[in-house]
Amino acid sequence: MSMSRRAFLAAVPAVTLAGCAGPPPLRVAVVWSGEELRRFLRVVDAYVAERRRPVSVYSAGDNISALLRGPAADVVPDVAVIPRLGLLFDPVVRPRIRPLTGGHAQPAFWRRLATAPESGETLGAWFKIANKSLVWHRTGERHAPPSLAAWQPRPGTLAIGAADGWVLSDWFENVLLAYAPEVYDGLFPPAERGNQAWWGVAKVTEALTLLATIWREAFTYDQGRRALTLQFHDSVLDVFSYRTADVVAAPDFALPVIERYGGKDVARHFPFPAYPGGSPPLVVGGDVAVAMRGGGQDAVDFVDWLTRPRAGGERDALTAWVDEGGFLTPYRQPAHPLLRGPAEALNTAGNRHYDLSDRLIGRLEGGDGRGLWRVLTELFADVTAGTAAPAAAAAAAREKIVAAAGEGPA
Amino acid sequence: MSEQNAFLFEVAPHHDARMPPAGHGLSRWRAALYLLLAVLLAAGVILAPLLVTVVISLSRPGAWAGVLSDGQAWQAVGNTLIWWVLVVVVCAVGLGLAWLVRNAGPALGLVMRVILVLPAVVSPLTTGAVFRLLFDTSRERGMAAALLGRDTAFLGPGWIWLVLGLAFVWQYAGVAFLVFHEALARLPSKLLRMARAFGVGRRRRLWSVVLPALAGPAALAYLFALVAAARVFDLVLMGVPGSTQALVEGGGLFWWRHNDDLGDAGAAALAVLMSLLVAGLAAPALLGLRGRVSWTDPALTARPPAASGRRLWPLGGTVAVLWLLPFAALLLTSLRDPVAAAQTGWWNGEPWTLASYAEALSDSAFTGALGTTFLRAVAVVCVVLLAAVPAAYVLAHEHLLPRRAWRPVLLVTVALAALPPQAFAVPLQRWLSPVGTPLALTIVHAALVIPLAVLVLHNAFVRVPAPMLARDRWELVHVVREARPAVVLAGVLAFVLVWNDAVVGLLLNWPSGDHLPLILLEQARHFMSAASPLAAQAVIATAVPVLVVALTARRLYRGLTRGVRR
Repeated sequence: MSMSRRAFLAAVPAVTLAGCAGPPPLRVAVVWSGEELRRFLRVVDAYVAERRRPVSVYSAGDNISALLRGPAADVVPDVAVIPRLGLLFDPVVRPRIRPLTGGHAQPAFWRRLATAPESGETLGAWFKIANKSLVWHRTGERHAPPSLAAWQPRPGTLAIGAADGWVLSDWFENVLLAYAPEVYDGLFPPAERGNQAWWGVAKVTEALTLLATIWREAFTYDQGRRALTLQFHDSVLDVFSYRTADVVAAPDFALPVIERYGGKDVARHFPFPAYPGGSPPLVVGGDVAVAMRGGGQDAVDFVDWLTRPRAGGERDALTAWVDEGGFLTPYRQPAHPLLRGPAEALNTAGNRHYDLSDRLIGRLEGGDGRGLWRVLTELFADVTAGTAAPAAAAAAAREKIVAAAGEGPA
Repeated sequence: MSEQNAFLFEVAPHHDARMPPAGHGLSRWRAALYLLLAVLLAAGVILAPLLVTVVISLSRPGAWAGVLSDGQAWQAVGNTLIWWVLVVVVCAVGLGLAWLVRNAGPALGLVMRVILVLPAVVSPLTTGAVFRLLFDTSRERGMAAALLGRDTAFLGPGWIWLVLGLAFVWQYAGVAFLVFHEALARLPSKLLRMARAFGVGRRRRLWSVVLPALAGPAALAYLFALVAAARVFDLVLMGVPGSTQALVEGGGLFWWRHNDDLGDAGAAALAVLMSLLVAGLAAPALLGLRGRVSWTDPALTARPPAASGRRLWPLGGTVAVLWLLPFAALLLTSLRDPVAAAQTGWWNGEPWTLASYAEALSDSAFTGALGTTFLRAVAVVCVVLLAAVPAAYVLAHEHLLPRRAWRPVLLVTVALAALPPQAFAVPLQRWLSPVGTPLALTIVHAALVIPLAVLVLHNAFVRVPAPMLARDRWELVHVVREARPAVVLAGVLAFVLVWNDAVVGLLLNWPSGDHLPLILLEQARHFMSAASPLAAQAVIATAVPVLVVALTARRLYRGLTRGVRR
């Protein structure tokens, strides 16, 4: 007993000292967890081996905005890989970002998204991009509706992971972009400051009504309540494992989930339907890597290394990730046949628009129980598990959005 | 030392019938020095930031009006009141169970105590995960839905309160049970017999003998559950799907989500409002603690007949099964193949594998957090004991304050222990950021536990008889040695609270995320598909405090009931 106690007491300072030795690790904050985080760590391992600089990766999840805005400067990471594009232009976070200089060239559309409108500085480089306008179904079945206006899913055929606010906001963005692209453009025009006054136009209410009508058609009371407790992965399982639903609107990174739980070659997809007379919407998302000021030049180098285009014959953990699906970059075509089309569209399609909710900051910024997520969750609950008429519920949702957009910065 | 007053939970002052001490061992200055560290920590980390928060809340004219007219904020405050109802339920369940088994033999009593108290050392985060697993919507995965035979949205609006209520009762009813069990065993049986002999009616006996005897313990059980409810945070973050969280979150969680939107002054106003609410709800407990209760020894003569003890075994068995079920579900889920565990519930059995444990232990972030959290908890235990032992000693042995001054000290201590951390987080975060996060976290954790530790230690120290002739300079060492069980209790309390903490971690340590519960929390992003890895991490995280409590069980129990060695 006394020996072990003594050994323990000796171990405490030893551990503490070991933590202090060597160069301090580069602190990288990401939002992924689980399999995606493991994949990312494998990519980073190559950097550690190559540069002999330890890297500590921390998954901050949805708290990443709190992390980057926090008052304690010593805990702001050196590098952050974030899906919330709006954070780059947040009044607190923006001064903490070290703009990228030199490095590789990014495609114009993507570079412009991460460029500060006033100074023209590039604030971040795209690590991962995503196509959020896909609808997945089982192989050999046909479900694609002729148009968004004609999409009236029978109760129980549509799976929605309504417990995740981002799933609902993706739905909203697709419908808004299909129905009223000019509003979408007005809210966040390319290379200019957005104008939140666009939330007030009547077309927003109409788009919300269209969305609410589809949801109302697709769910009975019980199914609506059930959907509110399902997360994104659960909704994929509903279609491909339990087969209790037929289609699920989900981004390209649903593919590895489908293959993990449903098997290979069980899925097909079609683009999110267009509104009659319009072009099909293409909502894109992504994860942008930014160097924070505290990280110095090393952080900039890491961002450049992480997001660089791989040469033709180069093979590493990242190219393996791309080839196996669930990960798209601006520079490399995926090997998976199901993803070639969506990846191609990300680089060329005319109707590309970045995920709206990821650009919002202030009161509308998404998160569990807050912002646009909360408004859409309440809309979903009102029309599926409640008795509100779609038009009335949509009008109420618009009121909430306008009120929130009017109060806070955007 | 008489056993007459042998009950820790009776925090009201004792009449000191001992011989007056021959000399004052410590000078006033020395005594003040003994108090210094505890007072500095409590004042610097809790009181001063609290005052600053009050000032900030008043700095912008419209701040209070803004918060008071915010519908969402009111909803959160209303939810806090629903949580308060659950606090009462917890106390009632604890009392009910204690009443049912009051005549059980020592064996059943022991079994019930161990099983019921075990959940209290589990982190609320893990509790949330377990109950979310049990009440999953799908009948393939959720046990409750499987028993019903159809998908049921237990985690949706409305029903979610049932799930949270069960989780809360499961976690904290054991503590209330323990308190009431002890109290019932010490009911003044002679007085009751006498009252009956003199023809005092049943209702009157209950009113004038039993109720006063239970007031102190009830106040303590209530206070304990109230503090837990006021800090409800991770239970909701982990146990409730994102869509439902806004419907059940209390003021603390609402504050955390919206403090940017509310602005500095608005957030401060909400934090002050929450503190006032908790203080108001805690007030009845202080009244209960005030009452002087006299205790007799457990009625040794009134051994229950063996038959009645045996009749209680089915009841004990049922309670044991219900209380152990969440542990079993967690353990079995952690042992299943991750892909299978995401699709079907644990009762489907095979394939069994240790893959999730291998994954957890090969994850450097997890193992790193395991080590850091352990070191942090140990460091906090050291600081807490260093500050609380001398403080409790000075307060207990009247070196500085006469005993009657203990009551205001008690009031302040209880108020500090119950305060929601949001009330002082913002100023604290600004002040402490220069010292670096690891040190700051240790200081804050220690400051939060010190009031509680002083309470526990004080109660034991007053029972250590002072030397008759002269107080010598080694008296403190003597007192600590005699009151070892209480010191162990204070240390274990600090360890478990720090180990399981997510609130302070999230409020002050967003970033580095080296605190274990924060690593677990990340799995909530894809809850069901991470079921098995999450369960494995939760089992490992739970094993540590359970082990600590198991190793010190005998002393903990004595610390809780008696405080001193003999």
